[in-house]
Amino acid sequence: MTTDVFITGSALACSLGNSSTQILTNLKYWDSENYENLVQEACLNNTLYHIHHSAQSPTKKYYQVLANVVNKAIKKAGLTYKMQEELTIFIGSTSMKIASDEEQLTHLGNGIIGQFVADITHSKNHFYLISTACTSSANAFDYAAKMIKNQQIKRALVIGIEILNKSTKMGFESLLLLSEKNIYRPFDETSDGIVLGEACSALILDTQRNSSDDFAYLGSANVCDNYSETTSNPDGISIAECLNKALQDANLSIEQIDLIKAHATGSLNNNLAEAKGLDLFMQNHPIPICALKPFIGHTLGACGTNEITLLLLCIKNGFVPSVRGFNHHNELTFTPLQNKIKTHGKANILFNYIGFSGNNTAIILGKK
Amino acid sequence: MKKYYQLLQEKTDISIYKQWLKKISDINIRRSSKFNILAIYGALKCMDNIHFSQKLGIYLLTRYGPISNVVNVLDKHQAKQKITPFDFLNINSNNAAFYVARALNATGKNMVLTTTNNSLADGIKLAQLDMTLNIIDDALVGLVDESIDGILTETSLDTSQWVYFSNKYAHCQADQIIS
Repeated sequence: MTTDVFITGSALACSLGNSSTQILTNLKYWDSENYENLVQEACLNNTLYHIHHSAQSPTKKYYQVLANVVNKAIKKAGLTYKMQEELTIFIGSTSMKIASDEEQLTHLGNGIIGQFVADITHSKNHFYLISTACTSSANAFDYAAKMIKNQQIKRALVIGIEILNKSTKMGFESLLLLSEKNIYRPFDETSDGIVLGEACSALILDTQRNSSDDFAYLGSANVCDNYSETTSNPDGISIAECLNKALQDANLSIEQIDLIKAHATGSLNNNLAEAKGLDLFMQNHPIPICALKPFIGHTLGACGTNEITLLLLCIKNGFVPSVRGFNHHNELTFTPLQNKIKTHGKANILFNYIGFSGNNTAIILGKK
Repeated sequence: MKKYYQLLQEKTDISIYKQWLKKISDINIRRSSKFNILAIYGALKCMDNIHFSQKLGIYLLTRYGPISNVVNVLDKHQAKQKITPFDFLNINSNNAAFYVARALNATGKNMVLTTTNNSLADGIKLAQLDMTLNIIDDALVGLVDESIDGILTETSLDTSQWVYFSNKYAHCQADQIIS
């Protein structure tokens, strides 16, 4: 026996803003003509996309951002106190609370994050903290949705959080993966690397729609390859396999997918591997491909829920943003979305995520 | 459940575990963390002489992750020193599950979860779900932590505990362990 799963509430704090209204307003300015200027503005001197927040310390910022986002998602979903008690919590993050540890190491282990969320939501259920690099919150979503679908839990709160910290930035610098020009150019031949971002998002998953525009979970998959700690296998096979498995899990044909949200990190190896994977997946069925990292940066383990939240917000408001920063790539067999497309709030979307250590996750959400 | 392995050891230097691992595997673990080595060693010991499906799911639980490497990186920040690629890679806890998967040539899932109570239960629950849905054939669930002696005030042992489940017996045995 399985049941339907819907996203009934969501919230996002990112460089575009801390509310849906702010995010949508700022997105309107991000046309291709002023993209480079806006990236510089969004990144300020930190060379990463940052959340606008006035907290005095990294620890305060971490927990205030987290609490605000969680409370907004719960409010949006209209959960009563009793319903909040029934939440099972799933948190995905690469760096977990290292931003706070860098300020002062007072508490070993990351369980304190789960306990904090359980306390503010009054959840009487379990919490899961998942760390699988850039697929962390996508995997958190995957498990939450599958557990609800298979009636193991009643409803879920899924969180992705990545807050600015020295360790992550210096670590990516040491691997020479960051863009020197500090401009995101997904799939473009002049792309010179990643621009990091900080953001936090929360999604409520439930068995009943809260609103007629709620999207449904249709299927998902996770595939691991053992090629490398830091890059995907350049043949793209495991990426394509993951996308196909998600399609199979959703019981859909490729013709029923309206849009692919690419991972699109901007790093040379992953751009090429993902391009091959997408090419193998689509074959003779071209599908519009969008990428969201140019707007909010690479938010690492949080990008799963961050990009779901951002894209669904756009689609519910009638559009899919074009891929900023892309001009040309000789080896690419597809062209990422060059112009904003209008929607009527309806689409089947395939979200693709790729993590360090060959962890690939794909999620399909839809509303028809 | 098909097999269980447990390493519980007073705080021991990484060089000792490297020697132990070299005796059972030729995996390249140069400059790898103690956390990774503990994970690989325990997992390989657990899987010794077992014929398992390549669709093996790996679920690694940890309370503190690669804590000595994290402390090392935090100390470098304090000293305003640069961190190296290995410093960075070794504070990513999911590396451990990757190396376990590579050492076993497993291509099923590899997941890393935080535990707050030194329990395998969360990993077993996810493994059980994945097996029920035929996403994986077999599962290897582990609890890995390096001793925290000397960091703050708590103490603990070097730990690498692993349980292997086959698809034939997973459901009833997993339930027994959780309860």
